Amino acid sequence: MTSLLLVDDDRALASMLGEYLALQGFEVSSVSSGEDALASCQSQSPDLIVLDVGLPGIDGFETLSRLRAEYAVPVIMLTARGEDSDRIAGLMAGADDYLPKPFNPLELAARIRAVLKRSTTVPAVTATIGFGNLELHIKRREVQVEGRLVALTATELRILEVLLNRKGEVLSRAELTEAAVGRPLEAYDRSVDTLVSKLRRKLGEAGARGAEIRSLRGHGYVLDIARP
Amino acid sequence: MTPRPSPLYLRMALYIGAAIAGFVLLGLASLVLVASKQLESYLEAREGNLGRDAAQVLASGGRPALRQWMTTPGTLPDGVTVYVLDGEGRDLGGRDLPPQYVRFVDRFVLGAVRDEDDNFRPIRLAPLLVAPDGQRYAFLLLPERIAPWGSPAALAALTIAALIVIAVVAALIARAFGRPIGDLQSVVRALSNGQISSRAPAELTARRDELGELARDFDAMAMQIENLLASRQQLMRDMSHELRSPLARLQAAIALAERKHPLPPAEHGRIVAELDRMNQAIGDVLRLTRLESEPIRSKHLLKLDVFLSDLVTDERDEATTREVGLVLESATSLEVVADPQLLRSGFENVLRNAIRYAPARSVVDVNTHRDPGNEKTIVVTIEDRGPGVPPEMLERIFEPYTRLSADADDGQGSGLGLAIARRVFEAHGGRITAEVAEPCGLRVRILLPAAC
Repeated sequence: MTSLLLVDDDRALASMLGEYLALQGFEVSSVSSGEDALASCQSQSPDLIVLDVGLPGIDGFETLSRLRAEYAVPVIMLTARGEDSDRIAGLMAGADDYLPKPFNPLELAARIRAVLKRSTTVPAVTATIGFGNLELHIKRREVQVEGRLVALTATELRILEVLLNRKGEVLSRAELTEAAVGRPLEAYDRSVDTLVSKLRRKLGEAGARGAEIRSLRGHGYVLDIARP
Repeated sequence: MTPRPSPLYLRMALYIGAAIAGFVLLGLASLVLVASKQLESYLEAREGNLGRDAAQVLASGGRPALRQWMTTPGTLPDGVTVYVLDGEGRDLGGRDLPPQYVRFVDRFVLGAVRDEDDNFRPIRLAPLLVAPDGQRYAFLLLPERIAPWGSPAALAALTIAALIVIAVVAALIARAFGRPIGDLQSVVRALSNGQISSRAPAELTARRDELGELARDFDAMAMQIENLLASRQQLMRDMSHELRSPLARLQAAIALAERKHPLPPAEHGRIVAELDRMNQAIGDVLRLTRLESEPIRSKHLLKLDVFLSDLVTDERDEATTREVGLVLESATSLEVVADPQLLRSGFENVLRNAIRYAPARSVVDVNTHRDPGNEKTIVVTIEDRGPGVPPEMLERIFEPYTRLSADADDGQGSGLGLAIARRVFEAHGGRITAEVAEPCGLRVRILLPAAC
């Protein structure tokens, strides 16, 4: 039987959810703090943890990162902090799924099954990212257009990588500098423009098609993927 | 207690007092200058032999020569006038004696000229001239009337000097008041535009006059407003959280109850729907609160035609259920930089509103084009054929919880949809307005800056 650990300081909710999930065929134990969660993770090694964000003591995010440091157990986070989905999405990076409170318990059961199913299959490691006829090999640090290597400097490649990872997102020059060069935008603030224009030229000469690095006045740069 | 004398008041009094004093001094100085110069030349003339000169002219050339001599400019020194009077006080040159001299001349000068047949001779204060025919005249040397503005050049110089004094003082006053007031004004504007953490510049608050006091008072007020807003937002967040916890429990309890003893489907559906609606309403309050205070964080380049066609596709089910057609007419290559989720919720709220009020078998039109008057602006109109909105309410529909009529509440929406939409578009540098559509219905116009 699949064992679940429910971590929520709302005991009334936890007991009802526990009962509901037990009726759904799970073996449920529940604790009400992050410390207890870490302890019972060690003693019981559950198959999945449902973790509330707003916990007393060490909060859900902290509990998640400590869990992640030791265990590979899948985690579904419960959030009740409103609709700030962007911020939550960032913080949830280590979680397998998240569900805003209040939710239909049916939905929670469905998500639990989906996460369990997913975690049994090995996730494919993405070795390359790219667009159109361009491929960037993340590990090998090289860029190919239609199989031919494009000579890029390390910084140009990092800029391309950042833009590729955040396709369609408009990055300010400060953000792009920070992400690609690893230092904040300073007095030499034209350098990112120079880098981008060099990168653009090299990709153009290599015949890269399917996307375009565009500069948007007053906003910054964006990798604009052409829609088929 | 008397209010302490205020530096600003003193400064203003000082400036204006200085202006007046400067002006008066300038006038006095010019008066004294001109007067003393005239007096000097008069006294000099009296030292000379003008009377004898006149007698010689009379003796050699008669009355016409003397008349010429005394009235031609240049023969006499500056600042003096000569009158040659007969016994009746008539001037040989035909001029009238200045009125203030008439009595004096009559009493002390003319008697000697008339040579009356009595035994009294008053003091003769003026030389006598005797014409070849024996006619006697009094020779009267008078200072010219002092007229500081008499010469056009002096008048012009004085006017220019006065204007300069006034201009300098006016500039000082303008600088003393205009600049700090302008600074304060720009801060007030920033605050009213929503930059709630705007404060008066330090050089203003450091002043020790009323303007400094005003700036400090303004800062205190801005701080108060900021705190109030922050605590209101905190309250909203806490409240929503507190409302959501029982809601979560309620949902769990219902799910559990349903598992144990199935409820009648109609009631169960109703309970679940109302729970969803309540959750939606809480979410909307939170969203609106957040939009009021936080700048947009995520920026994406969005192709508006694709973006809107995705949205329209998602809303088509709801529209079809209500027998409402959705027509999207979108110019291609229109792009905006926006937070996709926020922008979506903005358009979604407007579109859902239109679908909700559209009558069955009507069409909701979504149209996107570049503003013909301004290439940098994109216009999106969403138009329905519903009952529309009375013109006086067109502004108010974007305010939270505005209900047009009691029966418009069909149990849908939180009453915040259009308020959220307005905040979304304003946060993206755009605007939203509503107008009466022809022949009926409501047209909502959304303006967004185009990406370029």
